[in-house]
Amino acid sequence: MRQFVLALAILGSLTLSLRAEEPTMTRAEQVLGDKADVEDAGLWIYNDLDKGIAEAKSNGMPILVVFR
Amino acid sequence: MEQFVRVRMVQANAMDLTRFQFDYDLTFAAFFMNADGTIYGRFGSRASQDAMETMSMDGFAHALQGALDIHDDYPSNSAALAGKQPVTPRYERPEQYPMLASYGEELEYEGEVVKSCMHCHQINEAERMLYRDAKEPVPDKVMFPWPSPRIIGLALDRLQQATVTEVAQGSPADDAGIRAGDVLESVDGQPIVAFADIQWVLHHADDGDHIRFRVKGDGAARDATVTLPPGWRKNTNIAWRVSSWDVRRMGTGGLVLRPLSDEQRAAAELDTEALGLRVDGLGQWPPHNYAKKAGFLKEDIIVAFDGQTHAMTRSQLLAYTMQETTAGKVIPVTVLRDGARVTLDLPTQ
Repeated sequence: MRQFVLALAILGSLTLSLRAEEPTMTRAEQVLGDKADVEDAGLWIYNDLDKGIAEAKSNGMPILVVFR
Repeated sequence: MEQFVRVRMVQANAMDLTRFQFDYDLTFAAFFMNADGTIYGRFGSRASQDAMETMSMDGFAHALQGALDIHDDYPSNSAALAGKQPVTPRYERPEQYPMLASYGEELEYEGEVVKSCMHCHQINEAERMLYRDAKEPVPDKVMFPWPSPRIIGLALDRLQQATVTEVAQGSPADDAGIRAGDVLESVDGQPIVAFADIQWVLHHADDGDHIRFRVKGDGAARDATVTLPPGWRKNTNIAWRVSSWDVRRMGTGGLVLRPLSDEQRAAAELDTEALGLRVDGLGQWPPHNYAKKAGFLKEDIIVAFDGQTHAMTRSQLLAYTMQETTAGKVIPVTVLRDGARVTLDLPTQ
């Protein structure tokens, strides 16, 4: 359940960022910070569809691919 | 969400266009799919400047559940999913478009990461540019992609999967007998997990096509068939699209236009059949400043554009420039300024 809440929170933050970008960071800092945050949290496979497909083939789960 | 393998994609570089076909102007889009590549559904819709007008976390949660239900039934439901699968694209990768050929397949995380990142909306721009460069009219399907269900008269609850909140009187949906409160379960036999599934069908539809909805209302489930009238797609709002900035540059020299309010129209003595679009802003820097250089001013009201004086939305005017003019043409534009009519020469790109 905790994992679900965390994943939802990350998704929520992605969605909310549609409205407001962080004004104090450069675009490059935002991109690199986002990458680090997602990889550190470990709840999403970052930018690697092949890895996601391989994982889904092994565990039988459906795949959610988010473009953001 | 923990019942899915979750993949986050942050770039359009090297995107597999044979698999991922969606509204590339979105800043948030999702696919639900099987490991064998079968698409269960799409999430992500937009019809105006406000991205959250058509999306919500509740709606996303419903879409997730809908996708899980489809996954549970797969592959026995393969036939119903057939229409959701991608069509053959022009190119398999965005980098194959001439306009995008300079991009690499990977982001340069150790270098110019921002410059190396291709944005999804650039795919729309590149597709349109193929026609512009060839001096051919941009087809309606390219100019007005991914029509909102509102085009056929359907307002849907953003907190649900596809629950109708309002049906415009006299619209194709009204004519089909769809009513507020109805739940749209499938479109052309395809199960609906989110609005985007309806847009997928509309995106590929032509004038005169019949779109069959399976509808659940107060009584038993029933079919409702929507017939698309001639020119239906041209009512789509494209003004919100990021990719429309490039159309503004090419077609209107960087003019940002707004429709006139009823009061403004009355003050300008323009009836509802007359063209009347107000200049709300102008691009200041090349190559978005052709209108500024031509002498346009903020608050000008365009009343004639290339000889056209009939009412047009700003989206329709943008489309006109891409469908009825070619790059390099100088367009005569008449504006109302301080009560007088002034004609300016607007060069296009």
